[in-house]
Amino acid sequence: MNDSDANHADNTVDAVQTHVLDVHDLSVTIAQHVILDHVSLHVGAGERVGLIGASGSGKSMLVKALTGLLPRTAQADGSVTLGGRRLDIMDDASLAQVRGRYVGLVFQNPGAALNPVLTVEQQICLPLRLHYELDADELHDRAMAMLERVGLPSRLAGAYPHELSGGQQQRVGIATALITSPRLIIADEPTTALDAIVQRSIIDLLVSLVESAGASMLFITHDFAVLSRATSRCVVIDGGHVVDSGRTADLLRAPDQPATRALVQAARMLTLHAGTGAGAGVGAGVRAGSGSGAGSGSDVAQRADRRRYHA
Amino acid sequence: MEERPGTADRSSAERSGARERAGAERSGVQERSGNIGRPTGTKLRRHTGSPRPSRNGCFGRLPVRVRLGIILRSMWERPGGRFALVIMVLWLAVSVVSLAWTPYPLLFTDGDHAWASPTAAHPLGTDGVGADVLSWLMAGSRTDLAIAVLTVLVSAVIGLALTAAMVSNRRWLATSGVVVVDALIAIPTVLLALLFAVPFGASVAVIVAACGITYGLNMARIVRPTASLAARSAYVEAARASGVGMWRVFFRHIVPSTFPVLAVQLSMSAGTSILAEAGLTYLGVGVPSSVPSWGHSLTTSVRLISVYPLTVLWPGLVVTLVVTALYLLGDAIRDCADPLANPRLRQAAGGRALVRVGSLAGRGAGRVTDAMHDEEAES
Repeated sequence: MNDSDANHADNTVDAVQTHVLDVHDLSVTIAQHVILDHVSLHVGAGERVGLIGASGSGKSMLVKALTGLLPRTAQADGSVTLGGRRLDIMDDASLAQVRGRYVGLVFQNPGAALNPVLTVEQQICLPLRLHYELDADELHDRAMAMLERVGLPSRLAGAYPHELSGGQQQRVGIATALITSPRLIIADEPTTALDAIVQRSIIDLLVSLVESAGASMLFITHDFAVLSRATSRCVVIDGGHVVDSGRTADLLRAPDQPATRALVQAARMLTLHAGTGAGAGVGAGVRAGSGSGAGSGSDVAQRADRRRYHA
Repeated sequence: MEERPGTADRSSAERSGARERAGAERSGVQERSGNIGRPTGTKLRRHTGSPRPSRNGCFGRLPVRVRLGIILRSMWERPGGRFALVIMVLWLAVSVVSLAWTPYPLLFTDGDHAWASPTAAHPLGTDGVGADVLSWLMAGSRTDLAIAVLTVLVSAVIGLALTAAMVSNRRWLATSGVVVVDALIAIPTVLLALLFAVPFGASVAVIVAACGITYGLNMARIVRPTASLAARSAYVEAARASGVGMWRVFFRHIVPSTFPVLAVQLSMSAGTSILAEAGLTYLGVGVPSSVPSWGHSLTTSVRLISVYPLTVLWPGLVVTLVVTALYLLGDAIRDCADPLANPRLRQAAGGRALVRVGSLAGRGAGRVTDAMHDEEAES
């Protein structure tokens, strides 16, 4: 039912205007090297879309192109439209107004993405101070409320990033991205640098915050196991091209493109329980015989141990 | 793009919710542990978390005055820092006092008692014209203080401007910055001072300009690697992704990362400027001879150093002590004023997270906070 509605919406002209993000024929070249080649994708209102590809497929460059942070040597063609506004032809000052206010970014390496000389509260308040006129008391209250929503104790407000664990740092990163209630959240491999147990909680946190805010999310990763939990639809990118797209559950069940198949197989071998499709949790189980190759998540290790013990 | 409808309502609801929860926690704690020291009927304040922000905004940091106290205390506890603080305070006090009073007026001369050794009347002796060495050194301290402060300002401005150019992502700007620094850094301070003295004559401005430019170039060259690392870091990218503009990124995100290097370099600029002042005044292109300065005292007495060595000793000693103190001051500031280097600037902020009662600063508040967090973790 959802499929046919989505397809119908895609075919109408009005649908383009309801998309929060619309990338059309985006190509990025750096020094004669083609990074992205006519990439098109869209994210609807309230939708969570995944962008999956192996390392080097151009995912991070796409994020930079969306926020206007490409290196100066890069040449970009095509259009990027956010809520009806063209971002690719905007100057830097206008883009700075959009970034952080309508688009929130969650980064891959939480420890590196937090300024080491700012406290947690300063970090979280930064987008608010940039985009809104609020007095110090209001800023403080909002920061405290946000800390609570991401599950951090308020005593960490005065902590510095190096005093936090990886999971806590990423929660701060998420709080920073979501404090201005942006329309679109772009999560650039937010769980790649975290261990599997923390990964699950971070993904769940991100999904619940995005859903409660009614925002849209573009979730970028190289791991299908993570996408199955976080997104309903995904786009597969390989070598700068979009090679596949569709509902995450369908792609997992029956991948037909070689790139998709490779990614799904990799996810299955490592963490995903084959056959349960969308909604299967990360670390839900391990195929027999591939436990030794996994090595992620303590429940996986426990199952492997149990099997060996009882064998 | 309009504001999302209902955002204001949601945030105010969050705020009141946060307040109610905080109020409930606090009253809950009072029921559980009666040793907070506050009577149960006390009206609770509006916010939770850190103290009411000062004009600069606290944001998890301590108020400015508290931070300053911690920094000064930490500096005092280090031997180098203590020495530096004492000398700085003395220097400042002597400069201020000399504006109003010196033991003898500066124009006082006594030909009968030139080159005198220290006596009760002249604690540091007299120089070649019978003027009191102590008075001239006191008066000279304010000139050197002015030179040090102005040199720090000029070198900071020039150094930061060149650093900004060199870490810019505009290729032409970065290249020109590097070329300028590499080309001009080869010019020695003395040569530059001589160049300025020809059209403008010897003055304090010549010293400040020459020293400021050369130390600024030097500072840019030394600060550049740290600044470059910060400029290409993920957190600067994250800041730009949050919407921070180029200038704000440089001053609020890149420069604070270079704080340790900057502190040391600026203190060295101050110290070296005093040495430079002595040398340039000796050459005749520094402070004019009518203006008191330590360089002037050195210059007038060094001619007869083999005959009256004691007269040279005093200005030499003063310059040595002050320059050493300035170098040590830079080290102390680097170690004590940086929250990443000084744990006391961090711990105190963490300990005061939830309870804000003035008399319960420090350990008491820390204990209560931990107790409250155990509650939070369980609930």
